[in-house]
Amino acid sequence: MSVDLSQFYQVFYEESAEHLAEMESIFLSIDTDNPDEEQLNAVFRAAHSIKGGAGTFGFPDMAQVTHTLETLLDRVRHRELALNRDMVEIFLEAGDTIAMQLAGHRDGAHVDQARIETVCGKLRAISEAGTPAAVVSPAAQPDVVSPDLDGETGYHIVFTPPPDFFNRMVPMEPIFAELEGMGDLNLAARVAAPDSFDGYDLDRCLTSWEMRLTTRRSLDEIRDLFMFVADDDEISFEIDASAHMAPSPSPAAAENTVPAEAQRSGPGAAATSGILPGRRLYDREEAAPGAFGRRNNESSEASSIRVGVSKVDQLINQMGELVITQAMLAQTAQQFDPVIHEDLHRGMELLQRNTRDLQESVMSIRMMPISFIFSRFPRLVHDLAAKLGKQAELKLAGETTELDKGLIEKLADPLTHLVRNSLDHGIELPEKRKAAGKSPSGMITLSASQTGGRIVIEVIDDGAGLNRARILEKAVEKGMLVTDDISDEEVWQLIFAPGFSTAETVTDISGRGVGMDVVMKNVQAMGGRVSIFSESGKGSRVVVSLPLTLAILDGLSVRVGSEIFIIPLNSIIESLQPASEDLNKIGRDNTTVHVRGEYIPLMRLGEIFSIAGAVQRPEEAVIMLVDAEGEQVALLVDELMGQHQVVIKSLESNYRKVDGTAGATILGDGRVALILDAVDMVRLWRMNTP
Amino acid sequence: MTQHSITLTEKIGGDWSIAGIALQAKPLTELSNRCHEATRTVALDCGDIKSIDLSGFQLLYVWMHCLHLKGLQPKLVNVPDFMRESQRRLGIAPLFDSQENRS
Repeated sequence: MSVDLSQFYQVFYEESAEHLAEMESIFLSIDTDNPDEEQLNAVFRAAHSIKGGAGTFGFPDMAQVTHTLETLLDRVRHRELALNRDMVEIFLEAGDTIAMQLAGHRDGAHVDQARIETVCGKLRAISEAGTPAAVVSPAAQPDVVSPDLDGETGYHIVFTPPPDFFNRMVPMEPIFAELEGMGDLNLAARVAAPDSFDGYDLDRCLTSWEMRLTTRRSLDEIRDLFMFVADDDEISFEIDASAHMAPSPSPAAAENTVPAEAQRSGPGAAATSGILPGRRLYDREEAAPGAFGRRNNESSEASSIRVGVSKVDQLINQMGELVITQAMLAQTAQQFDPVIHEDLHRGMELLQRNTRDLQESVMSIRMMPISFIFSRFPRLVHDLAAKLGKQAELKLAGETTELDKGLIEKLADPLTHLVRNSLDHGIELPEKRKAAGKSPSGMITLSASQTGGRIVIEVIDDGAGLNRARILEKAVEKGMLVTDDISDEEVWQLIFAPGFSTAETVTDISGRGVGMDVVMKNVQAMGGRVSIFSESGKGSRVVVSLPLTLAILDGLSVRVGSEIFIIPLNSIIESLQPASEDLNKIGRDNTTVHVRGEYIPLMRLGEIFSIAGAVQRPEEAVIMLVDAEGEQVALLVDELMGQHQVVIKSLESNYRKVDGTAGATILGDGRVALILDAVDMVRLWRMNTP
Repeated sequence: MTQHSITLTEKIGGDWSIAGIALQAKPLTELSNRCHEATRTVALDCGDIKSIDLSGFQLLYVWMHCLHLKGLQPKLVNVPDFMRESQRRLGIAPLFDSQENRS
């Protein structure tokens, strides 16, 4: 009988990825001339944690590379090696290599052994070259580098594993070997042996350990070693004032067969002065505080549990069904007299409020900060700028903006392409920038914000801007029908054509013409849009606009003929019934509405969707003023029905794409209603309007 | 009249990790039962042990401890290097030494 350790792999993979991301982020921002001590400690801890996990879960290849890196980082943080830029580059490379190994174990991705060898060779070369740290006066040097015993601390550690410890198949040898490497270790095991061999339980762990360690390492580092092994109540750390005098536990002491349970430090014992709690990764009760390697002293805001996405999606689907059921009940309840059936109506109101609260809570589970994607770009810009011989800074804004997890995952590739394009095609070489009176270092800004019901992500660069003449020339070469007098906006849209590229040479960065059309397709598949704004010599701005969520929205139902449509509430500005004098006919088919000094084009939903029986005279109908990404348009509808919370159902997966819509929903009476997309509808209307 | 002391030697081997110890406990019990009144020393020849982990060491230790309580002198012989190294690294080597040296 054994426990499948692979059930814990996912946690290790995720935590390792987080540690790698943290390391990368620090390496990219660290000041090599005057490195921050806390940053050095943080990267060391990250490497140390990865190594510990890799060793515990049986990934020796990862443990080996991380160990080499960790050893160097340890020397750097103790100022035995002076940090420099080249070293940081190699550390970054080592991080990439560990990430590659991680992907190899997690996804079965190809692992390039030659690359591992190369990186290990570079790390060893640093170690052997041993760039000495600048001479620092003793006063300036922290006492942790002091070679004498004054900087050492003695720890008395008692680890009493739980009875089912064997089933976890945790190898203790690597952990003890690590401890041994930290300083002077006296290790003694005890076995609480029974007096009779009859009834001996093979699976029950009766072994415990007592350790006395004298080291310069911090308690956190020691505790990290047991991160994946010991729970708080299974291990105790006590600072041992008599460390230098304490003899190693004798075999006679080891013979003392105190029952393991009796040795275990209970909560009361943990509270004893000087005894510090440890932690372990996995637990019989995974929900317990302190389980999965999380510190008990984490604030409640910071603590979290990992749940499979499929479980969350299931919850959201069920939530969607509940919203529809609630809408159906609400519609049925309307048939009952509110005076006679007051309790029923009160109950329905309560149900609606609770459903809404529940829906908001459930939806928030899927929301993730966009920093999950943004965090990869500092490295990308750093590496790419070096490769292109350019200088560039990356400014990130709005990193805490939250977005649906599904969108986050799909957004990574398009954004990566846009940033690469900005750096490759937008930002000029330093000499060229200087000649143009600009700073030699270009600036790329990546920002995210929530505007109305959409998330707007912008990639802005202060580079050369799009070259109108060159784009037109290429368009003609490719046989596209263009004229010289088309607007800039229309010219910029040409770059979204499949295979369109103005790059003179094809590089591994860009220029193959397989980018912007894919960006557009990916963003459109998410219900989003891409717009480009550019000014020659000053730079470009690419705006990606996405729906806030893919699942549920607040909408207003409107009737046109016998059809019901849903207009997203956040795009509605106001509704009004126009007077005849406010309506102006332009040409044969176009009408504008005069609203507070502005003339707004009128779009007849009945005509756009060819609905028979729709009201024709605006004076007899209702006009909805809606915002189509900064542009106001007036929609002519027959009647306003009411406000709803609607569950968005994909039309593409259930039927086919319907222009001008963002999907469909099921109403309380079981009918299907289309959800309008104002911007797409404007596009559709313009296409059909002479 | 001279009293003879008998040393009973048994060869053990195979997998002594948590995955395999279920097969190893029975022979140990049988060996305990085979001990004659005159048996003084019981030696386990570990030369054929292919793998062992903490659960295997604990099994051996408990068995030795129980034999000792019966007045017998258990000992491990022909211990492979990997096993000795593992004992050392787990901090259990002194336990076995003390068990074997008890009179």
